[in-house]
Parts: sequence; C-alpha cells; structure tokens
Amino acid sequence: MKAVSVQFGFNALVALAAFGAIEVMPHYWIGVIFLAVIYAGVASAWNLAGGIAGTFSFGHGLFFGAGAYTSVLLFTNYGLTPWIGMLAGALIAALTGMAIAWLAERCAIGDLAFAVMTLAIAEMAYICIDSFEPFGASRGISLPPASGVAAMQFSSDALYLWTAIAFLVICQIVVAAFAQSARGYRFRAVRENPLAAQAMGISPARERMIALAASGALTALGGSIYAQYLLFVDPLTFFGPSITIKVILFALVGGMGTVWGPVIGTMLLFPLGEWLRGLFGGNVPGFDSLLYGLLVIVCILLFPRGISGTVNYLFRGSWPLRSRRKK
Amino acid sequence: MIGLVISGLVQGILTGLMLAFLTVGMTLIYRISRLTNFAHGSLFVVAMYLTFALSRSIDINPLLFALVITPLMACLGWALYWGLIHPIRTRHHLLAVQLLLGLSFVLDASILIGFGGDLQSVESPFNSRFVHILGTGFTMTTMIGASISLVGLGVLALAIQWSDFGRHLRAVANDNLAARLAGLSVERLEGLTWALGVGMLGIIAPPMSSIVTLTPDIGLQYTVLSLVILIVGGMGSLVGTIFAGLVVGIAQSLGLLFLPGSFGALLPYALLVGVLMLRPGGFAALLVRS
Amino acid sequence: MLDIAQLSVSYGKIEVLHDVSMHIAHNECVALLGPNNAGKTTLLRAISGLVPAHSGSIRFADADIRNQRSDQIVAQGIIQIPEGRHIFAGLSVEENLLVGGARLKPRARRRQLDKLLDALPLLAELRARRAGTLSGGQQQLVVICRALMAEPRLLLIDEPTLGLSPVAIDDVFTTLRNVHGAGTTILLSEQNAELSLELCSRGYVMAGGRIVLEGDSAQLKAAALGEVYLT
Repeated sequence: MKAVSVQFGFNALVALAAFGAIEVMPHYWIGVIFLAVIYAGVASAWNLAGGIAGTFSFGHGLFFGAGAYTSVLLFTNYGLTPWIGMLAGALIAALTGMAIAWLAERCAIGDLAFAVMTLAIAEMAYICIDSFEPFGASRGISLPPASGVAAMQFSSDALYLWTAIAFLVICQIVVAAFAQSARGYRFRAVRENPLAAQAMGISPARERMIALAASGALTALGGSIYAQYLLFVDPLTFFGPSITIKVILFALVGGMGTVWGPVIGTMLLFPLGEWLRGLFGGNVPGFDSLLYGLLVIVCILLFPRGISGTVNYLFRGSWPLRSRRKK
Repeated sequence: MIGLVISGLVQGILTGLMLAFLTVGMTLIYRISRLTNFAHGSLFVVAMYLTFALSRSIDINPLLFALVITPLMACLGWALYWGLIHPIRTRHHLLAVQLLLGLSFVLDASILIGFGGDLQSVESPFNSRFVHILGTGFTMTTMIGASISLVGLGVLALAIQWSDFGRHLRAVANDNLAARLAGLSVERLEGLTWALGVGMLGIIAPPMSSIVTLTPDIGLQYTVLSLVILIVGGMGSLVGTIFAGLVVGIAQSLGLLFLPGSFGALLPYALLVGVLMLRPGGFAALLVRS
Repeated sequence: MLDIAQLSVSYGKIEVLHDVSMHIAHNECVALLGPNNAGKTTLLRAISGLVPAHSGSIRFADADIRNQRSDQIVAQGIIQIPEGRHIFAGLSVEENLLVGGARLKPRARRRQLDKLLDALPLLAELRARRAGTLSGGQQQLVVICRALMAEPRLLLIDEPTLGLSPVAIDDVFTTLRNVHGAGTTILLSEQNAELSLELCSRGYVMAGGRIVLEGDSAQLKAAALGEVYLT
C-alpha cells in the first residue's frame, strides 16, 4: 500500500505542475492536452485488462461509445446530469465487459480469437448504432446547450481539462491499486499461464471478468467526458475502431503491463504526433495517421518492450511482460 | 422469391471464392509463423490502388496488370518480413500485431495522401459484358475474378500437398524445432511465405478493383473480413478457409438482399461470434470431427 | 571429427554450461551421461546452433561451426535427433522422411528414401500413415530415419528412449547399433547408462553444466558411479 501513496503523491505533484502550465497555455494546446489526457486514461484502462490481465480486447470502442451514448441519452431524454449519467454508462460498460469475458471464457477461445471476437462485437455495435434512428443513426446526437456545472458544460476549456485530469488520476489510482493487490498478482498469473493459475485455485474466468469490467467502466467514463467536451456524439468517433487501435498503440509503445507505461506512451506520442503534424503536414488529410504509423513502427523496432518496460529493465533487470513464444 | 434466393446464393459463392483467395495468404502466414497479418487488408487496398494508377496511364484491360502487380506485392511481402517482422519474431506475438497495425496506418494514409479521399473505380471492358447463371446476369469481371480464385486455390492446395515448398511449410507449422534440425532454414521459408501471401493479393486485386468502389479507408474492413474468415475457418486450415470464405460470401450477399439497411453488414461478424461460441475451433474442427 | 573446447553457454544472465571440452573421433560412438539438468540437452543444442555459445569453440572437421545457423550446420552433416520425439505429426511417414532429406537433390533423396525403406520393412508398411497416429516406438523410429535421410556424418541423439516401452527401447538400440555399424559417428545422450555404455566405446559424464568424468566404457562402468551420477 505504500507504493499506492507514492503514486498518489506523484499524481499530486504532476497536477501541481500542470496547474501553472494550464493557466498560461494557448487555447489550441489545451485542446491537444485534453485529448491526450483522455487517451491516456483510456489507454491505462485498456492496459488493466489487456496488459495486466492478458485479456487482449480490440473492442474498447464499445465501452467508450456506451459511456458516451448513455450519459448523453440520459441527459437529452430525461435531463439527468451527466455526472450521474456517466456512472450509469460505466455500469453498463462493466456489465457488458463481464458478459463478453464470461462468454469467451465459457467457450475457451484463445488470445487471438478473443481479440478478434471483441473487435467483431464492437463492430456490430457500431453498425447497429450507425443505422438506429432513435439514436440519430450516423448523424449522431448534439447536446442542447445548457451551460452550467450541473450539466457538465463548462465555460472554459481549462475546466474540461481539469475534469479529464481528474479522470486520469482516478484511472491511475484504480489501476495501481489493482496492480499491487493480491488481485493484480492473480491477473498476472492468469495472463502468464491460465492453466497453472487454475491449478492454484485461481479462476481465470472470474479474474478476466473483473478485469474487463473494471477496464470497461473506466473507459466508459472517458467516453462520457469526451462527449461533454465535444457536445456531440456520433457512431464513428465513439464506437469506431480508431480509438481502440490508437489506445492500444499508446499502451504498447509506453509499455504494456506496467502501471505508468500507457500514460507515458500517450503523453509522448500524442503531443508529438500533433506537433509533427503542425510542423510538416499542415492540413494534408491522412498525414497524422501516417505519422502515428511510422512512430509506432519505429518505437516497436527500437523499444520492443515498450518505453517503460525498457526503463524497467535497465534499472531493475526484469521485463514486465515476457515472451510467450517458445524457441 | 426463390429466384432471388438463388441469385443471392450464386452471387455469394462467387464473392466467397474471391474472399477465400484473399484470405488464404493470411492463412498461410498464420500457419507458418503464428502471426496474424493485421496489415493484410491495407496491403490489398494498396494492390487495388496500384491497379487504379496503372489503368489511368495505360489503356489495356486492367486484369493484365496482375502480371506486374503480383511480383511487386511479393517483393513487398518479402521486404516486410525481413525489415519489420524478422527483427521482432521472438517477442510477444501481439507486438507484431501492433507493428502491422501501425503499418496499415501508414499504408492507408499514404494512399489517402497520394490519391485523395474520393471514391474511385477501375473501368474494365468486362464490366459491361454479362454471363447468365440460373437466370441472373453476372459481370464478366466477377466471373473471371471467381475463376481465378478457384484455380488459384486449387493450384495452391496441390502445391502445399505435393511440392517441396509445401511440405517444408507444413513441417515448420507442425514442429518448428524439428524443422530446424532437419536443416530447413525457417527464416527463409517464413520470408517466402510472406512473399507468397502478400503476392497473391496482386492476383486478385485487379478483378476486385473493378468490382468494388475504392476509398483509402477500406483496408481495415478487409483485414477484419479476412480475420473473420481465418478464424471461422479454424486458424490455418486451407480447406477451412475456403469453406469459411464461401459461408461469409453467402451470408453477406443474402444479408444485403434480405436485411434492412446496413444490418446485412452485421452478418459476417455475427457469424464469427456465433461460430466462436458454438465451436471455438472453427469449421476445421467440424471437418476433423465428422 | 568434433572438437569442443572451453564452451560456455548462457540463457540470459545465467550460465548453464561451463568450460565444456570434448573430442569425438571419426567412427566413434560416444555416450553422454548424467542426471536431468546436467546440461546434456543444452550442449547438443549448442552444437546444432539452436542456442548461441558465448565463449569457447566448436570445431567440426577442422572448420569452426560455433554460432553458425542451424541449417548451415545441418548442411555439413551434423544431424540431431532432439529429445521428446519431435515428429511432424500432421505429415505422413514418407513426408517426414522426405523433409529429413531436404538438403539432398530430388533424385538422391528418392534413392535414400528407397534405401531406408528397404532396410526397414516395418516403415515401408507405414509410409502412407499420418505420423501422429503411430505408437511411441514407431514414431521414434521415424524420427531416427528422418535424421538418417540427411546422410549424417555425425549423429547427435538426445534421450531416444525417453518414455518408451522396454521392447521399443530394444528396437531403438538395435537400430542405433546398425547405424553405427554402417560407419556413422554418434554422440548419444542418454540416462540409461548401462545400455548406452554397451553401445558406445567411450563416454562423458556431465553434472551441473560441467563434464565431471570421462573414460572408456569399461572404466566408467568400473568406476561404479552409478549411484552418484548415472541414475
């Protein structure tokens, strides 16, 4: 538990430094950092399931979208404040995650099949929402302007950024608490060898359900906040595959299976991508994904264990995630 | 009604053959190196845009471009293996998945930058000639694409069963260590398989590019479709892949005919989830058991 | 024929073979004895180029083969039969043998196949069967023949009798005796000391990643070290 309080202290320190910076930051960069922080939180949430528990999901867009749509729909139809709406979204995402993990475990499918199955489920949700008229189909839903903290609509972008930072802090506390508890060790046992874990009395099904539920719930929170920032939801942005893929890229480049890796990965890659885009690309469409792709390839070839993993190895001499391939 | 079902079935079989041929390269790569090529769809789209680019500058039947594009794609596959996959081959397999996803970003974006985001199609004289099967007309392009796929799959099956390369490929897939100790150069074989798997995209791309509408962002869709077929077919089984390709093709075309709106596009995914739930080994497990 | 001097091998940061030296002359049959975890398998894998050696030398027929690729080493005639019956289970018996002769020209490969099948009528009967459906003893026979397809100059054999019935063990040793009789040099790693010292004229005993004893068969038997090393 001591390590958790260290994490806490570190978070507080980062927040303090950020406070000064945000007050003097230009508007454009607040938007970039806001997105980076949301991505970082979602990457960290993904990492809880994919990196730590080895439940490699390709369908986190489903959770992201579920969170966003739930809070937005509750607000537009029933006037329920998004602060509560997003908890409802998190609950729905958690139940969905649990159901997916349960199904997968019951049918004993492998790693890769699980990844593709989650991708398929997310894609199905995307297609359904995309043609479901009551939810605005592919046009999406715009939030009615209702300025006020209760409606989670702020007058300045800096306040959105603070909300996002709070979200990231919650993600990090949850992930760190999981990682250092007995449950975290069970997650890792299931990741490294489900059979051996089962022989020790750990139930892989239960651990994976918990991991995916927690991860899904956190991801849904991120989705809700992002929807409030945009004041708009549509299927492509929230349910589409691009958010999942980007988040996995960030987690992997930063270091899967470590607590801080995904955050470090996002904070390095996302602003770097934005900066490079401003520097070279201007408005050429597609230039930013070209950069992402190249960055990912270069990072994987240079740091095959992730940035955080490499640092970990240099200082402690152990890899957070070992190869499962046998020679 | 019956006529509609029958024409849907025939359309599905023709499309399914092409989808099977499209996926089989991925199957081979998965079989020999246990890697799923997440850039498969994007590489396919690259091959289709190559056809598009050639058809704009040279005025001959676009099907002939396969003669140029196939070797080009094969070289690309080979270079891809040695440049990107070989350096990380002993690491976690999800790392390679990520790398290939990164590559697909690069390919998609390059196409977008090079050709713009507009809808494109490749004109082919065969598009306006029709062949009638059971009362429904199908374009010559579709027929040729399906025939090429059928012949290609047949040749491939024979080659895998009877040629040295095929035997060695199966040996590596069976037991990597024993294959090394029998003096096979596993790296070389993997490189050749990547060349073959990616090169095959160059054969099917010219007919497909005259059938579908090209946009730069369809790469991921094809990757997912291929993944669905790969998994439904039982991960690495050639016969299973062909069978799954046909099933997905039929599901898609019947879905488009009978389900409202874009719900037809759901069918392949629903099929995947259903198959995984009921029979995790895919169709190959079904074939082996019966 | 094979000269190993001061060979050390590590997995990561842990050294598992320390200063191993060994000599095998042409036409010899040498036993490699020792308990589990003594480093026998690692030594054979290092010779075949499957694990890198970080110091020392491995010379074969006066050429340095240390850290060559495994297929280059096979090309020089060093063929290993790995531990644990690594058979190509999905391939037929005949295909297994053909893969074993991958380095030969097609015609030479056919000739070698016919020669082996003539010598072992049992395998000739099974040639079309899927190798995975054979019994353990039959599989081991296929694996040995697969190695012979490559026309080995030096045969490295790792625990060929592991998990086999007594009758199958006899079959394996009879086959090995014939192979040696036909002029193939053999390095045999085996836990069954009695049987292997009958077949081999000389032996090394390994323990804890080192060679702790060497001598001819009579010496090793007489040393009565059975209780200590040769369990």
